[in-house]
Amino acid sequence: MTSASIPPPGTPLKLPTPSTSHITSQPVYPPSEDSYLLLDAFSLPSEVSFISSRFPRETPAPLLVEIGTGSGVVSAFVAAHAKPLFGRRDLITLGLDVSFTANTVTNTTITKACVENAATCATFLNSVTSDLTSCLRPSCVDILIFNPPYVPTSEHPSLSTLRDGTPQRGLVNSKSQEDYDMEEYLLSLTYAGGENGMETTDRLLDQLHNVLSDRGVLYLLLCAGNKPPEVVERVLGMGRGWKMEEVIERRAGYEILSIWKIYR
Amino acid sequence: MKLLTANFLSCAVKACKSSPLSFPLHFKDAELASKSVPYNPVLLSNLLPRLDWPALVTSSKELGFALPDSKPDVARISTPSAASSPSDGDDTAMSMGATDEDEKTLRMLHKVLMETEVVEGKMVCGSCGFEYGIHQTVANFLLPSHLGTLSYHDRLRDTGLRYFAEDSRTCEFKI
Repeated sequence: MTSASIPPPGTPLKLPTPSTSHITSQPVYPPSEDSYLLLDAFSLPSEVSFISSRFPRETPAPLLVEIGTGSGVVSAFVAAHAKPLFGRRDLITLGLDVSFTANTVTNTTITKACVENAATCATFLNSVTSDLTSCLRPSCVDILIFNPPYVPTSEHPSLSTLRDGTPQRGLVNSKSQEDYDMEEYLLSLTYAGGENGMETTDRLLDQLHNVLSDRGVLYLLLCAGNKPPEVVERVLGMGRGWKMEEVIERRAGYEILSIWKIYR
Repeated sequence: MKLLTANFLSCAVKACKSSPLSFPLHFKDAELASKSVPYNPVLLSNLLPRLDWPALVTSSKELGFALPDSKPDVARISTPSAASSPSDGDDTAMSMGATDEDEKTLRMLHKVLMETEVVEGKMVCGSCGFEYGIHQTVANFLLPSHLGTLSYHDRLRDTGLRYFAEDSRTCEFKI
């Protein structure tokens, strides 16, 4: 019993991509192929029906959390179009990122998108500076989205610069060498995944049973270098009825990107 | 940070997660602002069942608001089943079914939970005493390395030790 499944035919929803025109020189991961693949995954009719049947309207309001919001484009998309994507508007959303700059940018991206889609949007609560979901109460997340630093790299940058340094400031139009260095470091955190590109993703999978609610589902982006079949094996090996299924796959330049959902 | 958000946060120190004292975190030196948020009674009535009410009362009190001691008994407001079209507009129009009493309660909750924003301040863990700063509404939950849970890889790197670390990726420990 493996997990790959091909989405049934059907026309994906065509919903506008949130504007990120307020991002000028801030050191955040810009909306890219991987971000757009996540938007397309949520727009598939198969996912729309999966989510609306998993979170029926008569159940309590779901909590949606994105880890590593970066520009905020993915969270803004799902928050702004909650009604067509999830069949309900009574969702609350939180954004988590290790970068303060990313969090302030995300606040703007989501707020703007929700104002522009006032009739269909969920309610965005806040962005929080956090390492993965360490700030959250256990087992409260219903829909978790993670576009991790997935590129296999020989070095995996440590978070100690952010943990132990001076409190982060919002970076824009950097002029000093110190700011340039910080920008370069923050950008390395957005993509460098260490061994197999999996060092950060592995830490999340280790904790997943303490993060998701019983009805919770993780949408995770992987690239071919992450060796998805091994990740599937690992998730199935966690027992307790964990499943991992492919939602969508796409070639993007030299990368093959895929979105997976992991749930019990 | 909205007052509602505090109902989903607890101390990031791993050893505190199981302590009842780590939730809710306690607001300190909070500078508040009122931020207008569209009123969504359907959301509020569907959120109530999952909120930790005593924690909310505590957080509210710390910010100068008095909530009733027990969770208000508000009937669930549902959207009409015909509301499957994405363009059927604002859920506000669908709160017509709520009684005046419920409506008053939901408006009050909206003001306190959704529109009260802590712009600057701190949140303090009742278990370990760690203070999380809030700056421009963004709370910082990144712990210093000596409190955070580092992966084995991080620890090897940070201490400059070089071990043969094969197969250690899932090994985590607290310092």
